[in-house]
Amino acid sequence: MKEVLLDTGALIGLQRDRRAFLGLLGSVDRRGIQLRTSPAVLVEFLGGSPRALRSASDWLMSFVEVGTVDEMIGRRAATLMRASLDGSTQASPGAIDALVAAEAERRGCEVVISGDRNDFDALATASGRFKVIDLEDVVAP
Amino acid sequence: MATKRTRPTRPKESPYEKVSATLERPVLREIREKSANVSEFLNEAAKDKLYFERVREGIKQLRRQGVREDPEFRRRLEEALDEADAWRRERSRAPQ
Repeated sequence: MKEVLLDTGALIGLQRDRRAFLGLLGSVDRRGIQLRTSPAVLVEFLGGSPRALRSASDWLMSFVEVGTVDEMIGRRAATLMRASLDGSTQASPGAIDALVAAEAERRGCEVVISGDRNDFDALATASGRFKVIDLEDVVAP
Repeated sequence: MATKRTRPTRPKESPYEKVSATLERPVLREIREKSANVSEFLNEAAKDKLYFERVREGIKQLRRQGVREDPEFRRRLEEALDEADAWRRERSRAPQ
């Protein structure tokens, strides 16, 4: 089973663009991919969802499996965050981004779909174990 | 008053054999571990099946709401996923 991780930016983008979400679900079905995320993203996405979009957010999250956060993943996320901050002047990944990257490593997911290319490219370089697809690059202009 | 006679019923044949055996502890442990793995595998398979049923239901729901797939998005996403697959294959071939 292949898995693809989503960050908060990607979830927000997919919520705004339902054609893109339909396309992603089509690829998920054809390729046998499972969508996943970190619990930190779940909190950020559902907790920060505007009142009018809450049920739509809940519906979208029902297609995303959620991992766990423990000390080991927290420590790995901190290491990746430090390495990204040291290695790039452009990127400033936050704790939630770093937890997504650590979750990708733990699950052996090799693709993270992100709404924030700079930060995730820096995390991917620090990790060397996953690729980043920027949602903006695949959504039609 | 006449009593109703009931026909004696034949015991149904079970498809399973009842076997009792005495096993050494290591053998018993191995059997338990292996059967636990099988049930874990079956649980995972059932979970995956439910996930993809949910995905197909989501696709139907969106289509019912009039959402149409964007062929350009699909092409670009498939390309990006193919690139990621190629990268993964390359990475798995590279010496660790």
